[in-house]
Amino acid sequence: MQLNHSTNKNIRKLLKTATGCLLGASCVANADENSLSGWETDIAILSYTETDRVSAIEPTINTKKTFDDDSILGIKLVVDSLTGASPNGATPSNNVQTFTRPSGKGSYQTASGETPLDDTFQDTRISLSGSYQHDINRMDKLIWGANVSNEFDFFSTGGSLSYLHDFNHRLNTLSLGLSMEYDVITPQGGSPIALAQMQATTSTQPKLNDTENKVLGELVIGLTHIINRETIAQFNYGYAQSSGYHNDPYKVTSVVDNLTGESIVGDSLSGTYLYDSRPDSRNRHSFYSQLKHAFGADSAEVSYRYMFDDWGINSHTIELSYQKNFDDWYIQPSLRYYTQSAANFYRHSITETDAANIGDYLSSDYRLAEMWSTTIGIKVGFKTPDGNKNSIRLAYYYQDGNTSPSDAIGIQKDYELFPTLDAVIVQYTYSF
Amino acid sequence: MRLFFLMVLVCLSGCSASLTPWERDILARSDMALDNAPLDSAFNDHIYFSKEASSGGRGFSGGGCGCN
Amino acid sequence: MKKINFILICLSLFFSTWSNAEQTEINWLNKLDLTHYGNKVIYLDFWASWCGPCRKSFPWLNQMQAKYRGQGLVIIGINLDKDIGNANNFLKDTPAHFPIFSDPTGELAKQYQLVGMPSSYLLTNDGKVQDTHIGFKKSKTNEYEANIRHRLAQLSQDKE
Repeated sequence: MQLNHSTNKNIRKLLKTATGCLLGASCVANADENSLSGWETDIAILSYTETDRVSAIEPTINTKKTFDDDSILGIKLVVDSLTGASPNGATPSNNVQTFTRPSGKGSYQTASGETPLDDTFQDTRISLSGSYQHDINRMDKLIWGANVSNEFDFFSTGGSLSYLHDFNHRLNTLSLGLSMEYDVITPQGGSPIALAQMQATTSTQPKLNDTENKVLGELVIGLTHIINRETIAQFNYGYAQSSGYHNDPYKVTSVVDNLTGESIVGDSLSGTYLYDSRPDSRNRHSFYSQLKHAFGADSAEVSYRYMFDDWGINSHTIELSYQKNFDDWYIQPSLRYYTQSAANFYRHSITETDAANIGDYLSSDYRLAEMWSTTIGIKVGFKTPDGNKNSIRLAYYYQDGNTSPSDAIGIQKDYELFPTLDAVIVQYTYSF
Repeated sequence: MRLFFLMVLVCLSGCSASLTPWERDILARSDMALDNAPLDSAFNDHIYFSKEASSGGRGFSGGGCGCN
Repeated sequence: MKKINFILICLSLFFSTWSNAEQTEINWLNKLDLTHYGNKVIYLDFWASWCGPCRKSFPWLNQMQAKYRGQGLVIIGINLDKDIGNANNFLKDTPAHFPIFSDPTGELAKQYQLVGMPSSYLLTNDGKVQDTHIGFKKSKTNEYEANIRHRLAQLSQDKE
């Protein structure tokens, strides 16, 4: 599994990760700052563990320096190391299923009744990003960002530029951001021909290219509005367009018998599995709003995001958190609820009849399915005797989808057709 | 989508704020920054991007003490 | 031996409280009377404990006060914290070697039409605002100091 091939590269992440907390007047003015013109550094480590599936460890170091003219340089390094197995898109069967590894040089098997998982990937990704923020004048700022990341089958680089304009006595901020990203995908074994059948290791698997690529562009327009002394709101509209290779080269769709729902015999494998095929472009619109309010010494936040794209996916995300502040520490519970509709070319599997008439696009990647997820988290922040900030965050992530869809056929009714997921997240951060 | 516009309306209805520059003490608090834990947000964004079909959204500007 | 220890302890306590006393001594003015200072150039600095650039400005302000006291510069810090406790906490870590006046309701800030934090106003002895700057950046201190020197030079010319 690859947590995903693309590292998250929209502007918002690029910028905020690199400059730490400093992407607006707020952090410069933070009365808690103990270092005023040296390097401020955060080191953090995240552990992500799914039950029976993927695990990742992600150490990070993020540092920033504020100069005499209040400009800020930020640098961030993330290493993430992944192990474990991820669903390959095929559906469970009453029989043992054999799949060929992406390299073509080995195979793996799934027991009867199990959701097929591909455990080929133990991958490490390294990502480096930098940003530079400076004032043009009292009310205007520019933030420049650049990033590069690499893992064994994926390389990504990009840049961004944002312009922030305060107006109305700094009660409002308008932000305009543009980011571009270029990805090079080198699938292990080469990119398979979309919708072609997976062949056994003993047969030839025709492959398309050694290398594929993709270009992404994103525009974000934001407005921050201070409602009153204790309340602030933000609204963002984002438009993202990507063009190029979007297929997941390691995912397949099972072709099943029209009546029994059992996998039908393929060319060289005991099952018929068709490689993932997605459009070579994707346009996404997102609308995000956030409200933050201080309740005495505490604060609470609610946010909502609506996203829709031209693949037929639309999603809603709601997040809530409340931070209870004490003199030297704080506790912050949080909740997130997410729901998405399926991409119009998503199928949990296809029947033999339908396979004759698929069309251009088909994917059984659970990430494009109709699904919903809940995250419950709690974070505690405190100072250590050296006066530096620490925090520990724990979260539980649960994802579910249509495990028993109405179009399940035959044996499929006995199995879960969506690979339910649950994961525990633990994060520790130290700032100095 | 309607929920988004509802939030916009609710917020902008408090539009006639006349907060003076010396009344930004609460907004200047670190927990009142729009993204007060950017490392957490970055980790979360990465996880959700890898497990779901949507990405990003959160913004990054404005608020705070309004100084300088 | 015990007697020496006792004396040493007493002395160290004495000196530590004495130096602490110097550090914690904040000159809070009961009222702000600009005529009280006579023939001076007055630098009014509006600040608050939650203002980051204010924290950066204090060492420089202290430096300016020490450097130009003899030439007639008087710096007064106008604190805009609603809760003086916060101001006192700030001053413990970031001391001010100039008097402070509390303006928790912002009356003075309104009077001086303050636009941003921090703000400073250079006044001549007739109470007129001659220079003002919004904000504080270390990279601009030469400019700020040049204004002070200019007004002090005018002051000494007027005396002649």
